Amino acid sequence: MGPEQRQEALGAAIHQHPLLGGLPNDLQVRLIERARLRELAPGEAITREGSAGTRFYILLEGSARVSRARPDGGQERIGRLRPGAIFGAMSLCDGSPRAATIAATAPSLCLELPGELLHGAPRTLDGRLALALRELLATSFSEQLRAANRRLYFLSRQLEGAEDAANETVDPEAVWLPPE
Amino acid sequence: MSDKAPAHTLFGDPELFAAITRAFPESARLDPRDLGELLALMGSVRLAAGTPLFGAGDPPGPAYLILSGQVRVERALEHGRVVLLGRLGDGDFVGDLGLLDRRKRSASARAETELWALTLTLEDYQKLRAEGHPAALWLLSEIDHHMARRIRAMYERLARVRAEPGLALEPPAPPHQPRRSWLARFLRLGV
Repeated sequence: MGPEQRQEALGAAIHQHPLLGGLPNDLQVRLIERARLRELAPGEAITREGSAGTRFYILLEGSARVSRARPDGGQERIGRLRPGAIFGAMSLCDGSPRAATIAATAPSLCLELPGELLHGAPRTLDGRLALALRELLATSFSEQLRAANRRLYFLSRQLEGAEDAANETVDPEAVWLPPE
Repeated sequence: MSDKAPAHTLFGDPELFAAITRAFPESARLDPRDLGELLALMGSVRLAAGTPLFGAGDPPGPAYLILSGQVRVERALEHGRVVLLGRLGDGDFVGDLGLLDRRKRSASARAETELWALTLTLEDYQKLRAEGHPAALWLLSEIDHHMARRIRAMYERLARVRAEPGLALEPPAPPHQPRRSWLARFLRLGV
């Protein structure tokens, strides 16, 4: 892809995204100026557990696996990302190292956004963009938190031997799926 | 026991300004006038230990910003047992998911000790949000920060439960760590 084609693809990706596409035009233009498209080959990692985070991402096409290191040195798969998912922002919000490694499982395309976009000065264009992006993040976090709460709740019920809980199907990967 | 002060009395209350900047140090970065405008929209509640804030399945309600005290967030299991989802203290948010959507409460929360908290309704938050008020950006950055911490804590706990299933019902008691100031984080100081 040449630079012009990339810019066009970027604009289209933002415009068509279920959440970003709803932003006012001036904010979409600002995003196009600041965002970058990243292509990932299968197996390629985009975030690494334990590293410092300076950027966050939106998966546009493809799929990715979320995994964490197990105490025995292996990797535990804890989730799956599908297009639309926002990821890599937790460490930008709490200043801690990345919580998981995320790697593509198919040829994938991501929108890469610099962390500074979350810190625009209030009552400026960048401030309005920061507000909109932070709200998207909060919504995505709240989905993850509700799903994690649900998983712990059902896990506890299963341990209690609740009959209906034994048949309860909780998507073990729901945590990482973006809202419908 | 709820002692709800009318919102207008909060504006310019020095005790409250001191309490919010102690519990939420980052609020000191807000212009005092902006902070005052936020406080003017908020309610203040003082609850006795044991008082429920809301129950699982309740309709959406306000978010609580804890100035002092401790809150248990839990869900009931059979046989009167409960699973403790989290324990929140000074400088934490409770029910903040309610500012983001109009869904029912997903868990129950009750004061574990005497509690002093500020409340903010979805409608008032949306007013701030619509005008791009600096307090809306501050609230969202606090909420993002706290949610990220809670998700991390939950992943750690789920990983421990998978390793040792008996832990599921055991209450985690993470000591509350006050948020480091932006300056300390910038300088990476261990304060």
